[in-house]
Amino acid sequence: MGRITIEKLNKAYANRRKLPRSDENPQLRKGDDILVLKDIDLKISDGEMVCFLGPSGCGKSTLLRIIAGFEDQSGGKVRINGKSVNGPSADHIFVFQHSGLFPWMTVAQNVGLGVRHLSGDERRKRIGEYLEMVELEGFEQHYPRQLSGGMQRRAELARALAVNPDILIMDEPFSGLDFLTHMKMREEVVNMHAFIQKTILIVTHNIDDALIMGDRVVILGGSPTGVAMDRKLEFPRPRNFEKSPELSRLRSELFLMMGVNYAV
Amino acid sequence: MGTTDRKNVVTKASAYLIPFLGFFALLLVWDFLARFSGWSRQVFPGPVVVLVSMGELLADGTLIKHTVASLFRVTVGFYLAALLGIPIGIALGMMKTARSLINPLIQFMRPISPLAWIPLAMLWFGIGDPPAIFLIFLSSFFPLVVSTTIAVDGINQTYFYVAANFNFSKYETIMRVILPAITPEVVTALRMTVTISWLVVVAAEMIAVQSGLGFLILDSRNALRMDYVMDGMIVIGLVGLALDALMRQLGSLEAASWRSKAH
Repeated sequence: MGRITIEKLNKAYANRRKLPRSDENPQLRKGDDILVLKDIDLKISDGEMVCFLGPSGCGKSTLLRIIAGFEDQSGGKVRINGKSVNGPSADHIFVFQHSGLFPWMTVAQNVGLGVRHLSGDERRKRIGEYLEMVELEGFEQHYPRQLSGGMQRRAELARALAVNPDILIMDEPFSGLDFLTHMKMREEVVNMHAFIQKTILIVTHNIDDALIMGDRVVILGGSPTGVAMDRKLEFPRPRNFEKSPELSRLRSELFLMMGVNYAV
Repeated sequence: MGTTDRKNVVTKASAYLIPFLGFFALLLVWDFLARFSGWSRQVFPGPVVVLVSMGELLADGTLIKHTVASLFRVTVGFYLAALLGIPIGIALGMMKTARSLINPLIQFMRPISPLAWIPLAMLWFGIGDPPAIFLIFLSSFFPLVVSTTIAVDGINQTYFYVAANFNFSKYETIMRVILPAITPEVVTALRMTVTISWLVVVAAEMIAVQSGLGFLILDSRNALRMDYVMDGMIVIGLVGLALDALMRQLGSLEAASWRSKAH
């Protein structure tokens, strides 16, 4: 079960700049609190794949880190399956933007982190199962540095899935991948979600990714950041902008919302 | 294809030979200076004289005895420093408050040359191995603590998030994240400090003890045997070279090299 309830979530940072930015309140002093996230209310149901969009620096990642338990909120509540989040847990695994694989461990050792309490045979079976799922069989004894960028992401995905978490949190999972690898990974995540039916939260600033993948897209924006738009995407998969004029219209709308007038 | 093979053999051979070329040039210059400087062979012995006297020292076992004595002190002092310094460095790297308490003390002690401790070391530990070992310990301990602390401090925060995410205990975090993460830096630090302690042992032996390469040099000076002094210096250099090679072997272990091989 991966039900998430977010109520009136606020996050403030202490200002570290001596002089205010030109677009900020000129009264701002060093040490003052700056509100980054304000009154975020979201209900995410079990098994939903939610894509978070928003301009860079708006606090998308911060929101996800709070849900993951890496950071504390300044106000409001985050509940997972009815229980308040207090700290990181293997029930909600975070997949990092830059490789979070331990470079001193082999792929098998990395994937085995979440199942390290299991006995040898059982553990090996689980590791093999998940490596097969991300098509990395035969790379058990490789170190992360010996894998390509796409393979590293897949290995990290396998590590996250092997714990059998309720929720998967992905921070820009495709950034830094070449175009084709990006497309393939996106497809794989969609298929994986259809297969395991877990709650997945994805931060991205790629509008196409959000529309192709998400069951729902949440756009964060404003200053301080709030929920600017929250839309369920009830389009059949596989999705295609050319075949679905409605999806195409939504895409143009989103681009316009994010400040791009002529999206190609 | 024959020519490229020959070329490869030549480049390979020259890669091994070039380091010796430097030594050979030094020998030539040394011999030239000894012959034509006008100084007597008592004051500035040439390479041949030094080689002959090294043969004497090797034959009667003095050179081996003194080298072993020095190596023993370095080994004990260095191991003590590593066994204490690395764990303390890890603890300081992990605990921010302890660091702000202890770090200034370490930075205060660090620039004090181990040689400045000689009077106290002799008074506290008397004559013999203990004061020399104490001085070597001091020379390696502080650099090791500082490098380890910096290494722990520099570990990518993401790895701690991952550890927390997978419910690592404190013990698991140390054994499976911190230790492997700092190994490359610690090995580098060990390589630097072993040279320092080898430097210090010779100085310590000139004062507190009746054996070791430092003592050999001092004793030979008193006997006005500059050829023996040079023998001592040559052995110190050779052992230093060997220690560095040994430490480099340590650095090429899989556990220590995950960083350097990363792209």
